[in-house]
Amino acid sequence: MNAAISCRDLKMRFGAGDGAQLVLRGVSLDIAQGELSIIAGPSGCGKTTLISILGGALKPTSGEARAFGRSLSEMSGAEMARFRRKDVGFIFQQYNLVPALTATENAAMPLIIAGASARVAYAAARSELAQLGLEAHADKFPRQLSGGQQQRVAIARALVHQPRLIICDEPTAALDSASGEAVMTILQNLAMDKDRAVLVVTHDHRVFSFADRLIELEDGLVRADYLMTEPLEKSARPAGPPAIHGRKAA
Amino acid sequence: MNDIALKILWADIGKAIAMVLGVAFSTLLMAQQAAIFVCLMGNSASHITAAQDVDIWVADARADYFDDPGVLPAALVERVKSVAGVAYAAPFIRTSVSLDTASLVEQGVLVGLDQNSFLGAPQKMVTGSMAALRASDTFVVDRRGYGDIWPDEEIALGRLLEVDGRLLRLVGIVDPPSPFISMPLIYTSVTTASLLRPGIAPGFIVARARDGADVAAVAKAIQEQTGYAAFDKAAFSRITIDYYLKNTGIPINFFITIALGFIVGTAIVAQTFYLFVTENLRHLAVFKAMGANWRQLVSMTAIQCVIVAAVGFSLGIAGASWFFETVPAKIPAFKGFYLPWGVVAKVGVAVFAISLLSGVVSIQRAVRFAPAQVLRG
Repeated sequence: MNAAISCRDLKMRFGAGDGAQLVLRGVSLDIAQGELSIIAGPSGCGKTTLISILGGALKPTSGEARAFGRSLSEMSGAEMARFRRKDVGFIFQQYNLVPALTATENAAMPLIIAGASARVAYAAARSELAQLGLEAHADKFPRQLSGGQQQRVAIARALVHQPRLIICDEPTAALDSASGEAVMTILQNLAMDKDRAVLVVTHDHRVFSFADRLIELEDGLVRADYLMTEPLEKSARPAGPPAIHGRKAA
Repeated sequence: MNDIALKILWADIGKAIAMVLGVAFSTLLMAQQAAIFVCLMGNSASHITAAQDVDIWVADARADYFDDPGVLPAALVERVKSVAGVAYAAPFIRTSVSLDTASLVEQGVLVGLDQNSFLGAPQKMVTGSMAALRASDTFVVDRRGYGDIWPDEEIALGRLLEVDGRLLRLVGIVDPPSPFISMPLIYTSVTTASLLRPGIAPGFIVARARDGADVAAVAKAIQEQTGYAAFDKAAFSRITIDYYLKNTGIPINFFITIALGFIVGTAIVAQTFYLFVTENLRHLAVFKAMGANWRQLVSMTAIQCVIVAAVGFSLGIAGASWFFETVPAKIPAFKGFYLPWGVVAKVGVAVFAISLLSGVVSIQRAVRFAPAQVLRG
């Protein structure tokens, strides 16, 4: 397996003294390129903390986290910012589009932050939007778009700088089932790129069947790690965790 | 990024306008009050600076400003003339007199000039001539004083005015810079002044230095040889202004108003900008999660501050300029008042400081915001 992300005995503690909370208690896993991995688990199990660390937005208290051969644990703040700027695309639950900016401007933000000229950034953003079927909406503001369209703009924004890691935080939580399915299909297609890993955190059982891999977290530990062997028929998608439909990862 | 920062700024038009108006109000208040203060202080020495033919003012050693003339012996004129480097010297009388007018004006300032040279006379005549003062019992009045004595009446020479119980005939009207004391200025010859106040002594001796002479050195020589104080124009202006600065409540009153302008401006802009940044904190955090560094966030905020400051400052200065373009023409008390460039520059520095300070305070939260926070919702 070509591991894009790996972590070993990852621990994360928030606070100090009696009020300290150990959110991750020693997580070890590998995420491969060309794979769509879903991290699931109950609220407070450490999902968001885990993707924050893997996305270079948070430093672990202890343990080793590596991304594309580099140690995230040893990166300085500036190096982490550079890693996020270059290698990571974030997709958020609430889209987090800037209301004052058009779809093109929102989608162009990572390139603008990386120092690209406006002309280059907007051209790349328009191209991404077109690939996601939003060509006609490129000059619209977020308030003029539906939830599904806004999430696709957010996906375009996450892709515009061609990152190797896409991190999605509850990407379908605010969407109806049709829009959610469309978004997951896009993410699934993205994960087919062998140079890219897609990591999705979700509570939404409906989308588990899109995963190549399902990682269940509980109380800050990996409870189960499944490789999904066969895509499920649409009608047969489970309401609960689909562990029985996969095989345990090695 | 700057382009994006401005789009975010103007998208929240309500807050942007509030910030711009806050800066504009602050600018207007500070510029208008500071300019009035500067002009008022300048007026305290306006007679000195306007008397272009006078190089040196000789005064009683105890006289500490222009509006407090001492009593000098008439013979001092000749002693001053005898000092090397002095081309000419003449007495200069300045005293208050009572006026009998149909208006509310009851007092004026009598200025007695040497009838040979008219040294120390204002330069700008509206009508008539200073030379006509050589005739006995004549006077020249300033333009503003004319309006006070004969309100709403056309300018006409030959009018009679009772000064200290003696009738004088108007032979000219001058337009000097506004003096600090807003009483009519009654210019007469020394001879006529002596008829009004027999035995009156000059308050100052005014002197002109020879061409090419070092005026400061000549003043020093006069001081050494006569025992009286002698100042060049700049020094006498300075001590007069200093007197008003140190001995009146004017500076502190203006300082309070200007400080209030600064504080109110800071409060409005800082509060609104803080709210603006707070409401945009999520977006700034998203940018940070995407890899924006603190320099980029600070730069975005700085450009927003600079634009708010520039627009607000321009509006405020436009308002202050309008005031000084229109009001002095209509209200005599503001005659000659203007908006000095120095005031504009200093207010500009203060206003940009207010805006940048507000930005620095507001952006702190965004800079400290951990990028992981944005994933926590």
